[in-house]
Amino acid sequence: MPGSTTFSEILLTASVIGRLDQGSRGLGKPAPAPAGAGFFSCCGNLRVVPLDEGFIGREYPPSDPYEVGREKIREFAEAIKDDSPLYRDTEAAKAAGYPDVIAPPTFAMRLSVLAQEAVVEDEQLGLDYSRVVHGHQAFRHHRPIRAGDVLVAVAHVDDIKARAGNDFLTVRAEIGTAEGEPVCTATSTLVARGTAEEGDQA
Amino acid sequence: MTTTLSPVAKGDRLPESSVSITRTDLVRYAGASGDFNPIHHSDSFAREVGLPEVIAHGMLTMALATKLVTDWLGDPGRIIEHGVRFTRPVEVPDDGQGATVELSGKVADVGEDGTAKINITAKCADQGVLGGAYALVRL
Repeated sequence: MPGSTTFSEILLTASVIGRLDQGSRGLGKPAPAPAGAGFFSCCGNLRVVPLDEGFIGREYPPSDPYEVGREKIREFAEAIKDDSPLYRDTEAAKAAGYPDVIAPPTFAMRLSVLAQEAVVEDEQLGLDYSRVVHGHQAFRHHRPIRAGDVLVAVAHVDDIKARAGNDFLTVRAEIGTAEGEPVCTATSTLVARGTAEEGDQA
Repeated sequence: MTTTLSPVAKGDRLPESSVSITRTDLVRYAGASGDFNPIHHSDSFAREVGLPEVIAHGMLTMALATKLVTDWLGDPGRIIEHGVRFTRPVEVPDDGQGATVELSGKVADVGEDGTAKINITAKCADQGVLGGAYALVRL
C-alpha cells in the first residue's frame, strides 16, 4: 500500500485503490481524462460527504524547516537529466549572479508536499485521501531556491468546488525562508473522485 | 548577468527535445524526489491498481517540460511561473528502452515588459501527456 508521506502519483494509485475498495466494476485501462480531472475521470457510485466549502480561505501552520543542501540539488538535477552548471557548480552560479547553486524549478514540489500534509491530515476537512489524484500543478517563483536556504511552507485552501461528481481542492503552498522572505508559490489542484453530491454516475 | 537571447518573436519554436525514461531513471527520480510510490517501480503493484505497467512520475514529466524552457533561456532563474495538467500517464516498459517523451515549445506571446509566454507540448507514443503546459519567462 502506498504511504501518506509522498504525494503526486501516490494520489493516482490511491484513487484506483479507492475504486477497488468500493468493489465496483473491473479495472480496465484508464480512460483519457477530461480537462482538469487528472488521469482518471470516472467516478464510483458511492456518495460520501463532499468537502465543506467553508474551508476556503483556511491557512495551516507552517511545515517544519527544510534545509536545502548542495548535494540534494545535484542529485535532483541528475534525476531530471538536467546538466546545467548552475545546479552543481558554485562558481558558475556566482558568475550568474547567485550566492550559491540554485535548484531546478520543480524542486519546489518537495516543499509543497510538506505543506500539503497538514491539509491531508486535517480530520475536520475530511479529505478522503484514498480518492485523490493530482490534477494540476503550478509554481510562481519569487526567486530560485538555492543551497543553504532554510525553507518553511504554509498551506492555504484557495478553492473547493464540485464538478461532475468530483471535488476539486486547490491548495496553495507559500514557500519562504524561515526569516520570512517569499521564495515560491506552489499551487496544486487535487481531485477527490466521486465525493461530491451531484452529477455522480458510473 | 546571463547570455542575451536574440530577439524573440511570437511563433518562435524552442529547440525540441526527446528524452528516454527507463526503469532505472524512475528509481533515480524516486530517490531524488522522495516519491516512492510503487506504481513507479513495481509492475505487479501497478497492475493491481489497474495500470498496464509501471508509469513515470508526473512531476518528472513536468520537470522535463520545464527543462525544455530553461535550456532555451540559459538561466533557470528566468522562469517566473509555470503550470501543467496531468492528463495521461507515461507508461515505462521494462525492456531496456523504456519510454520516450517528446517535448516541444512555442512562443505564444511576448510582452512589452520583457516577458514571454511559452506553450509546451509533451507527448509519449504520439499522445499528449500534459495539458495546458506553459511557462511565463523573463527574456
